[in-house]
Amino acid sequence: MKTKSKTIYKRPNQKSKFFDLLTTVDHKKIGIMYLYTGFVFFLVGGLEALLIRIHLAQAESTFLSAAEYNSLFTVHGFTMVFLFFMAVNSGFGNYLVPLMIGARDVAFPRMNALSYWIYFFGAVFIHSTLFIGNTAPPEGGYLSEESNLFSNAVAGGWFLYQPNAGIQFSPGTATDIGVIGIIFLGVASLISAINLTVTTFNLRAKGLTLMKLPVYVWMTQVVSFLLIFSLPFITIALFTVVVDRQFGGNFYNVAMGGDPILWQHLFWLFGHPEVYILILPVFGMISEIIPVFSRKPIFGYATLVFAGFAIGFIGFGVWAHHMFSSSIQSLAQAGFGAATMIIAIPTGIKIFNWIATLWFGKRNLNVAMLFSIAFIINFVIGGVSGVLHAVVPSDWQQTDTYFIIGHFHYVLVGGGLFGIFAGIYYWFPHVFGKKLDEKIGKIHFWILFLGLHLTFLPQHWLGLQGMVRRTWWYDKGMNIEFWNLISTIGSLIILISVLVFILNWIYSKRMGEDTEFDPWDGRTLEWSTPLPPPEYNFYDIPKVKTKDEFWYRKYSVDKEDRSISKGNHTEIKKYTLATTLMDTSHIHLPSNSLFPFITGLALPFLGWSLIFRGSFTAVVLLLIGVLTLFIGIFGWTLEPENE
Amino acid sequence: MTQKRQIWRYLFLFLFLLSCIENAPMDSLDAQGPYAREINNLFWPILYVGYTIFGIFLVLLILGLFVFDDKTDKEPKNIEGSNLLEIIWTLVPIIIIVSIAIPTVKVTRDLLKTPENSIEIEVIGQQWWFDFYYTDQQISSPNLLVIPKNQDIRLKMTSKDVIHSFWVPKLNGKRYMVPNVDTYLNIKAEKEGLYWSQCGEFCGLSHAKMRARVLVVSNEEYKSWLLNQTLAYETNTNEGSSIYDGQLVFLNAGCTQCHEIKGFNESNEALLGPDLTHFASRPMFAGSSLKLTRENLESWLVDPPIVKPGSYMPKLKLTEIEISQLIDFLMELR
Amino acid sequence: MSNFSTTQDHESTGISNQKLAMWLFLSSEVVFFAALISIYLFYKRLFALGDLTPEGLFDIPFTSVTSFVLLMSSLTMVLSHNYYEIKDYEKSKIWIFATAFLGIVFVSGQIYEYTEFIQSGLTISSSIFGTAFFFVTGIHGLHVVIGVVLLIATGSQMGISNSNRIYSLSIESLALYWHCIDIVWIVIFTAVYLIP
Repeated sequence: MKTKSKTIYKRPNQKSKFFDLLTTVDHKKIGIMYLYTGFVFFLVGGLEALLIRIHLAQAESTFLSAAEYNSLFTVHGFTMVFLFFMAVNSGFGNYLVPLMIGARDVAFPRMNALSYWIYFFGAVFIHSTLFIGNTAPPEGGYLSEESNLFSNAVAGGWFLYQPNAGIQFSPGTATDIGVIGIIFLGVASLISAINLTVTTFNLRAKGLTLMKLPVYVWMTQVVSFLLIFSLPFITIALFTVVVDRQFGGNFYNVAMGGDPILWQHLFWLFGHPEVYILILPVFGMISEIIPVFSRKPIFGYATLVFAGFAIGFIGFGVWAHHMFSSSIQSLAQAGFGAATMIIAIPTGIKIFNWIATLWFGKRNLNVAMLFSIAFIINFVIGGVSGVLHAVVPSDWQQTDTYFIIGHFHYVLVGGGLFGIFAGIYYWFPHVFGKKLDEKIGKIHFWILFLGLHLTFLPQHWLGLQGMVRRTWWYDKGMNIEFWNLISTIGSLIILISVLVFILNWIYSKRMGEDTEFDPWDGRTLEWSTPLPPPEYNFYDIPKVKTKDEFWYRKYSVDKEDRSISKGNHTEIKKYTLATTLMDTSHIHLPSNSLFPFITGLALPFLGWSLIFRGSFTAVVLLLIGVLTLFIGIFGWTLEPENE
Repeated sequence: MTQKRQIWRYLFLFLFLLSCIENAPMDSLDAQGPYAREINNLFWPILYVGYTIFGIFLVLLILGLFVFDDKTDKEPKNIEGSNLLEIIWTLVPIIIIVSIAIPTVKVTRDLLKTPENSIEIEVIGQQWWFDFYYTDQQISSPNLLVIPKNQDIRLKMTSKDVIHSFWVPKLNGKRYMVPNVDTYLNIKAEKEGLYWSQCGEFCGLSHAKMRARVLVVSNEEYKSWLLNQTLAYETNTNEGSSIYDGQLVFLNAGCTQCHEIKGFNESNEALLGPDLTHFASRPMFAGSSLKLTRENLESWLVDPPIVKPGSYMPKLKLTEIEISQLIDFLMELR
Repeated sequence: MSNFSTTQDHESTGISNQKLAMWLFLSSEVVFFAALISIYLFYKRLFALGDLTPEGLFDIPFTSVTSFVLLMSSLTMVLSHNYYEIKDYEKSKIWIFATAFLGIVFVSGQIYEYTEFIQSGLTISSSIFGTAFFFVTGIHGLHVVIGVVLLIATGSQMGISNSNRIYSLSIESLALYWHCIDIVWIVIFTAVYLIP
């Protein structure tokens, strides 16, 4: 749809690759940016974890000071949850969803870029806590240690329980930087969720009715709904903390009648759906990978989709299982315990469906599949320990111990990270037109598998032996040093596996096996493009007749309901590759724009101006921030539609 | 030293030594009371159910991958689903979950009830130590909770600052201590001994060092301990003794701003620091993170914030001699 | 990717991209305000305990008038939208500016109320009532201000043809936003001012 508009200026015409990155609105590029940035924060978060584990390998360790340790585990939590995991999910979602539904881009391309830039600048802002943040002991307390980079970051756990994370007990700017940063990230996620929802519902190719959508798209959609309904809770909660810390509010001021448990309710109303937000996209990826490498359709498509919705829905009703040792009443405790157990049922259904897909299939145990199978094993372990937490009286012993840490690292690392690697190995050829090396990949896999279990399995035992979480010091008399040492060795093994992966990445980008088209005999639409795909994705927007549309273009079905190759793979490949040379004047793509970048750039300045309120610098920062925001938004609206 | 204090001192030493035999002092699986045992009795069977479930999934995976894979040279059958299987693997988990949920609900509600014939003791958490307050006798026993064995104790808990959590793994699960709110935890111990306790909710810089000890004694010992705790300190009047000098150091170094010693310096206001009247009768100090020895006392008094970062007790700026005298005095507070 | 695409070359809900996005955003806003009002109600039992109580401070007749003004602004919004639909851009412009005007009147009323309360001693830090009151009404007020800005921006472009307009928020989406803010105010007014 060409529009002739009053052009005060034109859209940027990317000459340099760098400028292209700043102005791109292409969902694929944005997805890749999310993935790269997310991976950088994976390394940062991993470093933070390593420091923690090295410290804990010895009883009464002096490797880290209390302030450093407390900051490290807090920042580790924030970094891994928000800056790594959610970013990588966004990366995959942005890249894959339009391709899987036969669209050229998302519904709001500039908003898509905005989501990325808000995330990017939000992450920069949060990390500014290391350099310009400061913490201090609680009012009246003394600290004999020197403060440094790591001890000055936000401390208090990523839950920021009040009143400990309030102004009286956590003075200084570090906590405020963390709080405001998360607000920014929440905005980015909300915009992204709305964008993907409109895309999924309004931009599907002709014939692609909802129950033909790939499971991945459905899971991403559930996640978008979860974000839309859970982000308000954390936003409001964080606002209350800002009001308390910055403006003398009394929400959590006990002397004035404030109730710290209110914070916990608000936080967990977001916090629990958040963990499903993290894992459901990974469920989706596994649901795409296993069928391809079993060469049969996903088993129980409809139940998988509905189970996803069930998990999301019930996920809103279990938040207080994080608060079992609080003062909530016995009826509430029993109720939340039962609800938590109920979530195991749709989750179990999904796992059965994945396994059933494998049965009677033709397995291809390449690296992506290895990661997918390990995902199932690890997630079952994590899920079982999760059900154990749901046993309320038992949780009174387990909560706030390493038993919990063992549980969530099994589901997030054993499940989430393994699923992410499965996705990376599977879709790497799509993005780069080369395969990741299988041999190095298998080494990567086995080392990670070993490292995972060695690190986190002992933690269940440590928790039962009384090791409390978030403790920078444990004494020799507790006799828990041995398993802590094992856990640390495991974490070093994980480090090695990550290095192997980076090696594989660098090696394969240069010397990897070239693939121009459909290396895995894929089932879904994204594999119908040349690899890497052209900017417009599809030369002709596909017309969809069935689920697994791409597979059934290559295969028909015999009497026994087995697929038979139509023998047209080479033909399809030839045609597809030929389209890259054809005339594309009928294809209209959204043009680049600098304004999402500029709008995102305003945020750190606004955040800093709030935190350093009262000084002259703050006024300057505020002016810069407001001006940048104004230019960003106004410029955006003045921008011509598309060229 | 009076007869009562003498007996008490030896008894305590013996019990303390007894606790050192313990292998894993915070082991929640080593139930030493009915509540912890009820929790474990619920936990173990469910854990085995968990193991079984894992085993089933593992077997199904292996079978599906290596035994029941499609071995023909044609493509696999496009099995889209099976209503029967879906029903089975929905209903069977529901049954398992319900059979876990029912005892869970029952035990949950049981353990939250107020027991009959219980003694109520107050627990006040603050950064970073526990104060145990015996309301009837009006005595405060920081860091050490002394209870008679085989007796239901109802702990009435609160916090003076942030949210803490009281946890004695061998006796029961943990419960929050929330400022301005009373929370309750039942404990009951069956064997005499010294049990470990630790704060279970991140509460600031020295959360890791916020601990306590629970001493379980016979009924007679409990009564004699209570009596002992009500006694005040008899000021030492022997000028020239190091204890006498230590008393002076205590008065002049600012200690009285935060600490009270009954019979020595009494205060009508609520003070920030623990009551030190019977300081030396307890095995641990500094939030139960340090054993009561001269060396530990010395390193503590020289620089408390080094031992417990964020500590509300500042560096005292005392000379070596003054510290030694102070320690002599403190060791008299039995 | 145009917001105004209506061709049937793809599967769609039939609702335009922008309108669907606004509905989704507003559903998030509804949860947002629900949480906000819940916080207020959670602490309500403590408000009567301080020196400055809701009963003592609130001027219900005054706030009723400003609430009525906001309610009327929804009516003018509907009128503006109606005229837009029948392509009478002149009248639509008048009514959209009327909506903005009424919005400004509402916000002015709130500011007046705030100054009265602050003079009596109620601030965000003076009591939990102060914190909760300014928080709830302040966040709502901010939304009204943003709405007014959008109304003025849209109004000033009214009449410029689609292909030449530089600002693409449709009247429909804007009306949805404005009505949502109005409905939220009715709930806030009831929960904060009316319920004892």
